[in-house]
Amino acid sequence: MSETSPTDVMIEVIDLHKHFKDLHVLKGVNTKVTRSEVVAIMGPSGGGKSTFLRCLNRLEEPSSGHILIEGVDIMAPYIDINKVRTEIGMVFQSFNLFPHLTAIENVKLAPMHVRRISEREATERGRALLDKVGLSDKADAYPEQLSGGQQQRVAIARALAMQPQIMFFDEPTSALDPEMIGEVLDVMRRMAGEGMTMLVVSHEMGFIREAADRILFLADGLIVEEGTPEKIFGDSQHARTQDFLSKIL
Amino acid sequence: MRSHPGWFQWVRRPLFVTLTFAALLAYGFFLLPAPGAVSPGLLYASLAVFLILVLAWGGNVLSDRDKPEALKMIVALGLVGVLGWLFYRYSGAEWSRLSGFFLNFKVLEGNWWYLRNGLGVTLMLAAVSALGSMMIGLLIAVLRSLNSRTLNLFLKAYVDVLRSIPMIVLMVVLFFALPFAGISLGSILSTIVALSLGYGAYASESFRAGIESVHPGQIEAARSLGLSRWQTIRMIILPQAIPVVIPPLTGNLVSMLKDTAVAAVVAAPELLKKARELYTSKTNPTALVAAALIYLAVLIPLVRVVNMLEKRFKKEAK
Repeated sequence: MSETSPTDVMIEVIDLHKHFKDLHVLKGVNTKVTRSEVVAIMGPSGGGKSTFLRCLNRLEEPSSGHILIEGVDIMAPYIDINKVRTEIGMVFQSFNLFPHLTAIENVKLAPMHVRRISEREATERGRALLDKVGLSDKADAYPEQLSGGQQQRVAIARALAMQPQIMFFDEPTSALDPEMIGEVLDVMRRMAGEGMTMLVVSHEMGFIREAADRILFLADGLIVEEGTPEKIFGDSQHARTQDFLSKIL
Repeated sequence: MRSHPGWFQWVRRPLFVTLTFAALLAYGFFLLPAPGAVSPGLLYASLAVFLILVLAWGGNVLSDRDKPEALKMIVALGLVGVLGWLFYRYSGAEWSRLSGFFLNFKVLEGNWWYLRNGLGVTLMLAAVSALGSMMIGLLIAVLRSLNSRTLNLFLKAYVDVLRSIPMIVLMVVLFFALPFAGISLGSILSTIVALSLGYGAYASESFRAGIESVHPGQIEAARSLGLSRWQTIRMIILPQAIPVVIPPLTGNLVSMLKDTAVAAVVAAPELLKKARELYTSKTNPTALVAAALIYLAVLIPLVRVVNMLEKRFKKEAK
C-alpha cells in the first residue's frame, strides 16, 4: 500500500479483543483499511474471521480495544451505533432477507425508516439498485420465490440502498450452490471496481486474486500475516498460512 | 403389507362376520334378560358378556382396512345405537320424569330474552378481556425479548404465578378481598381484570414463542441496516411472529370464553348466572340445559375456526 494521507483511513482497529465467556476469540487485532481498499479476510474456521467483522459494526460487542470509523471511535459511550451502522453495509452468509417483504420492499425499508427519504425516492433508488444487480424483473418477488444467488444479490442491493461508505461481506457465497457463486462475485467485483471500501470474509481464490488489494490471514484470534494476494498466495512467510493454503488450493 | 397370524385371515372373512353378527342378534333378542327378571348377578354377567362380544365384533370390522368405509359407518352408528339402547333399558332411570324435568322448554317461554342478555354479557366480557389479555401478553413478550435479566425475573414471576392461580380464585380475590384494600371493582370489572391478567400470562407465552421463532439473523440484518431496536421489533419481528401466534391465541380465546362462566360466582350477569336465576325462579333446571346448549352453539364453531387457522398457518409456514 502506497502513501496514504490520514484522512484516507476508513477503518482503524486498535488492539481489539473479544471474549465469549472463557473463549478468547480475538487476541488483540490491529489493522487499518484505507478508502476504496478491498481487504479479504482468510483463515481457518474458528480463527475469528466472522467475529472480527461483526465486532467492527458492533453486532458483536468487543470486549476491549478501539475501532475508528473515519476517525471516530465507535466504542465511545456517546456514539449512536445505529448511525454508525448506516455507513456500513453488511451482507451475510445466509442472506437474511426479510421473508415477509418483497425484494423491493426489502431494499427500500431502511432508506425510508432510517434515512427518512420519501417512499417515491426510496422506490426509485431501490429499482435502480435491483437493476444494477440484474434483478429488475424480480422487484415484486418474495425471498422464498428467489434462488440463493438472487436472494444474495437482493441482500447486496438492500445494503447498498443506504449508500454506505463501507461494505462488509461475511462469507457471502458459502451458502450458495456452485452455479450461483459467479453471479454474486460479479456484483462484488463491480462494486470493487467502483471504488467501494470492502472487507470480505471469503475463500474464493479467484475473486480474491483479482479484486482484493490485501489479504488478512487471521488464525487463533490474531492477524498471522498480511499482504497482497500475490505475496500471500505465492510467497507466504508463515507455516500457519502455508498449511492452510495447501489445504484449500 | 403387514402379515397377520393365520386366524386373523378367517376372522375377517365376510361369512364369519355375518354369522357372528347373526349370533349377536340372537343373543340380544333371546338371551338378554329383561330388567328385574333375574337376579342382579346373572343380569350383570349376561350384560357384560354381551357388551364384550358386541365391542369385539365392532372392533373386528372397524379395524379392517379392506372393508368399505360405508360399512364401517353403519357399524359405528349401530354400536352407538346399541350402547344407547342398553343404557336406556337397564340404567333404571325414569325417562319420562327426567325429560319432563330437564327438557321442559315450556318454562322458558317468554324468558329467552333473559338468557340472550346473559349471552350478550358473556360475549362482551370475552371480547374486552381478549383485548386486554392480548395487550398484556404482547407487552410482556416484547419486554422479555429485550433480555434484561432483572426485568425478566419479575415478568417470569408474574407469568408463573398467574398461570398457577385457578381463575375462580383470582376472581374471588379481586371481587371479595380487594374492597377491603379500598378498591371496589364491581363484578363486571373484576371479571374483566381477572380474565385479562390470567389469560395475559398465557398470551405472553404464545407471543414469546412466536418472537423466538424468528431467526436471529433477521435481527442482525435489521440492526446492521441501522434500524433501532424498537423499529426492528415493530417492522421485522412482529410481522413474522404474529402469523405464528394466531392459532394458539385463538385457542386461548376459546378457553377464556368458557372461563367467563366462572364470573357467575362474583355475580356478573352473564349467561350461566342468568340461567341459574331462571333455575331458581322457575324451580326447574331446563334453563341450565338451555345455557349448556347455547355454550355449545357458540363454542363449537369457534373451535372449528381454531382448527382451520392451525391448518392454514401450518401450510403457510412450509
